[in-house]
Formats: sequence, C-alpha cells, structure tokens
Amino acid sequence: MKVSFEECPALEEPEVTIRAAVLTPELRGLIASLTRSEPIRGYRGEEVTLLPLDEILRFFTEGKGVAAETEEGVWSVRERLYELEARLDGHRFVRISQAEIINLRHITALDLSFSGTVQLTLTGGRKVFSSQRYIKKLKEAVGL
Amino acid sequence: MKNEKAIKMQFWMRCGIGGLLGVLILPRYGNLLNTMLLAGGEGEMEMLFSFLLYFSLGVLIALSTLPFSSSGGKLLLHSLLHYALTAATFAALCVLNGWNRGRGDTLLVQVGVLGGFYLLIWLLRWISWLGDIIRLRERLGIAPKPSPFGFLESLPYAALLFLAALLVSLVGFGLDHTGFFGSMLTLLMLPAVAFFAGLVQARRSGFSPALVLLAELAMVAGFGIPTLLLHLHLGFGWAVALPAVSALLGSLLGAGMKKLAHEN
Repeated sequence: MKVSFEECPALEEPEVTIRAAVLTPELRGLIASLTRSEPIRGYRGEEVTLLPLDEILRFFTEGKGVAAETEEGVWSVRERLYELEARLDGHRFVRISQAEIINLRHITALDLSFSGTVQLTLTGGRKVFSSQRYIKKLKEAVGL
Repeated sequence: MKNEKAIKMQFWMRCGIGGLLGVLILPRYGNLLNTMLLAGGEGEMEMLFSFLLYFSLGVLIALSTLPFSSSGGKLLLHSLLHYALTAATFAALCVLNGWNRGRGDTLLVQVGVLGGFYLLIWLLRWISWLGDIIRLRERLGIAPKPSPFGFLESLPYAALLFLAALLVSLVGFGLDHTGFFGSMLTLLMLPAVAFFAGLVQARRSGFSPALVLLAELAMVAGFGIPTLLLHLHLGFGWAVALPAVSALLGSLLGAGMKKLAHEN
C-alpha cells in the first residue's frame, strides 16, 4: 500500500482520503479503525457495561426500547435506533429493516428466498431478515 | 402524506392511461386473432362487454408496472391476486372472442401460458436480486466456493431458458398450426436468450460448463414438449445444437469480461 502525507495548514481537522480501485474488506477495516466510535453503554438489570462496537452483532427494537446483541447476550441501550443509525459508522453498521441495525463485520452468510426476502446469518448463527428496499442500503454501505 | 398522495395519483393515472390504451390497442389484436381463427363475437352486448374487458386488461397491464411491494409474502400475495384478476379477464376475452375455439382445454392452455409469462417475469426479477446477493457476498468476503462445473449457479438460468423456450414455442404454435412460425420464432429468439443467459451468468460467477449443458437440455425440453404434444414433425434437427453453442459463446465472453474487470 502506498502511503503519503500532505501538509495543509488551512485544514481545521485532519482529513484522510483513501484511493483504490475497489472498496475491499481490508480497506473497510481501515476506514472503521480511523472512524472508531466510543463504545455503547449496555444495561442489564443493575449491571452496566461498555459494549465495544466490534463485539455488537446488532441493535434491534425490543418492546418500547432498543437492545444490543453480542455473542454473550442481549443488553438494553438508551439510544433510539435512528440515533444509533446517525451516530454509528455507516460502512460498518447498516439498517436492514425498520427494527434492526446490523454489524456488517458479523455477517457470515447471505441467502435469497423465492419471494425476494434476504436472510442474513450473523456470527453465532443468529438469522435476521431484510427486504429488497433495505438491501439498497446494504449495497450503498459496501460501495455497490 | 405528500408522498402517499403522489403514489395514489400515479396509481389512478396509470389506470386511466392503461385502460384507454387497452381499448385503443387491444381490439386490433383481438380482431387480428379473430380473423386468423375465423371466429368472433358479433352482438352489441358482447361488443360492449368485450370493450369493458379490453379496458380492464389495459388497466391490469398498466398496474403491473407499479411495484406491488418490495419483497416478501406481501409481494407474492399481490402478484398472485394480480394474476388471478388478469387471468379471469383474459379468459373472458378468449371465450367471448372465440379465441379458444369453444374448447375448455385450449382455454386452460391459454391461461397457463399467461401464468408462464408471470413466472418468467418473476424469475427474471429473482435473477436480478440474485446478482445483487452475489456481489454483496463478494464485497463482504463471504462468497461460497463455486459448485462443481458451476452447476448450482447455472440452475436459475436453465429454468429461465426452459420457461422461455416453452412459452415461445406455445405462442408460436398457437399462432400458426403448421409449426413453421413457432419454430422460426424459437430458432431466432432462443439462441439470443441462451447467449445472454451465458453472458450474464459468467460475468457474475465465471465460466460455467454446466450452463452449456443445462441450456441445451432446457431448450430441447422447452421446445420438444409442445412439439411432441401437438404431434408436429419439424425439419429443424440441424438447429439442435444452437442453444449450447450460443450459451458457450455467451459464457466465454462473460468470463472474459469478468476477468478484464477484475484486472482493471
């Protein structure tokens, strides 16, 4: 990989541009590490824990609230889904339905049903579903 | 709210335009078919009812250009409902205009052919969705290993080719009972369809020897079944390898294009 640095005194904050023929998983990882967000607070009864974003499989609506699922279990979070969608890196977390945002790095399989519904399998075997309307968002997130 | 209003407006606009085009265009084909089949309804009431059916068929065709739903069970249900209404209207037109020559089995075939076209459109749409899934899998680094000779990847295209061959032959034979028109239609159209199926499949999944074989089988079955059922004796044996050759050429070109795109 060719790396260069350009000094621009006029810039208020650092700006990184990555130029490549295609957006590969490695490059997405690089982008994610550059835009690393703060962990999310997860609540379970009296217990409060910081959930690293890498470990979160998905956020989903649960009753009136929102929950985050990791391989270890499910945690309640205080943020709304639309707030999470705005806050999280769009190349890593994508809304796949009205009630769900998933971590792209945890997708292990994609399958298409006869009716066009897409089944996404996440790490640990969790299966979630998306319609063609939301698949457009997934395509945009990976640069298609 | 504004969006909902625009969707409703679009719905009614399409209904109106479709109905109008149905009344203006479809009777010409009705008459053409009537002349060809030496039959037709002549009473005023039949005429009026016939025009109402042409209007309805126009509306239904126009509605099919609107998305029923993005995917899922709702889309399936709406598609089936649309087919049921279209089939009922079409069947009434067939009976009224004598296109089925008063025969119940002919009417069943006609409604079945209409259903075949629905299935063909659905399959085309499904193959387009599948293309998105294949590209997404590649981007996410979760593409499965190709099946031996690309067999599994070729199956949807083989189904498409079989259905296309069957429908084109049935329509062609329906328009000309000597079998000549149907054969010519098949000979001209299907190699082109096989070529593009090979091209699209190979651009997505690479060269697939299985597609060449499956294309040949699909075409022979799709063309052969109606030929046998109608007891037609056609002298086009020399053209039997055309689908395989077309699919092979399309597949080679598609694989080359995929390689070039990958290198660039």
